[in-house]
Amino acid sequence: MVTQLTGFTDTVHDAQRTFRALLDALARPGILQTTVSLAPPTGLEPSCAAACLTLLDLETVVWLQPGLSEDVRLWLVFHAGCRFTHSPQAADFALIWDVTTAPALTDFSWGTAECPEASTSLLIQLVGLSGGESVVLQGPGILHQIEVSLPLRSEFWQQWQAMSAEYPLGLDCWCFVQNRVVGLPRTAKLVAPPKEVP
Amino acid sequence: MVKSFQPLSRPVWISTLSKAPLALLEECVATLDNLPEYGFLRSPEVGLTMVRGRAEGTGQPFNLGEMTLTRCVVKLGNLTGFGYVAGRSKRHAELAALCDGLLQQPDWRSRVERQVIAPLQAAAQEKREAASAEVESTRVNFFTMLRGEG
Repeated sequence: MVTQLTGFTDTVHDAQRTFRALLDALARPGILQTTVSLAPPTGLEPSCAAACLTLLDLETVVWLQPGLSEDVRLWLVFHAGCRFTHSPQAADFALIWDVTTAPALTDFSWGTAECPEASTSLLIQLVGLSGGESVVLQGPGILHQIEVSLPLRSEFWQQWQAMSAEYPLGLDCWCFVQNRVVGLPRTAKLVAPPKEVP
Repeated sequence: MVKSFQPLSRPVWISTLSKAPLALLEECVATLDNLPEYGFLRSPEVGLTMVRGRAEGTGQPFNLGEMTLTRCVVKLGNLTGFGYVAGRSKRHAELAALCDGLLQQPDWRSRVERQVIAPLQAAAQEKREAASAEVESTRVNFFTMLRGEG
């Protein structure tokens, strides 16, 4: 069974534009970037689909959060040719569609002291880019501080703060909604500790 | 030589389409009229593939070298046609994929078999026979003479 959906219309330029958006997202954490739009398979946001086509190829190993339709897997296999794994530790990229049931950050690979960049990168799909708990981030690429209110739970931010302490080990993530993306590199640290869940 | 009748299988027609000379393939496809609309699932793209061989004796696979390949996937309704050709011809990959798609459809199959595959196979057969005839003329026969008693 082959997918019925096409990938990028203009493979070279669309991929370059999306890559630039993803790069800018990590270089300027918390600031919204726009990716190229395309018709995604059911279960993927257009920007996440564009990121998958840009980043994944036959040398990458991907962890799909259970619950994603078979369409997604077929589409990725055809257009990206990536391999899949059931182990979050072994994945280069993790596709998360429901952040509330996603594994803890510690379940993914944080790289090694020799190769901290060999960590898992998270591609998180959200329902919106605001409306969640407000946190303040600082770090490289952020002018003084930036406030984000992504719909991520307090547990996520607590885990994120614990991860920041382990720098340079850690992981980086992109959050996708529609055709927008926001980047959270591991260098973005929380300014104030997140509110404890009572 | 009596050829046993075998229905045309997909590996055979894909091979015929891939190895056909482009000019002849264009000619044959031009004889088909009212071609259906088709779109690209994967636009023709040129790339490299690693060709592997097996070592004699141990049978262990090894990398022989890289080869330029052009591939295309065409969408015809619900069917997909695949075209993989050696070299850089995007047009060849597109036509091979289109014919592969058409051959999967019952109402196009016999027409494409007759007007495209058959001429291509005939041309390939002719080329093979011409080559082997040329080689045949260089054959050296060794005669052994029995000496003595015989």
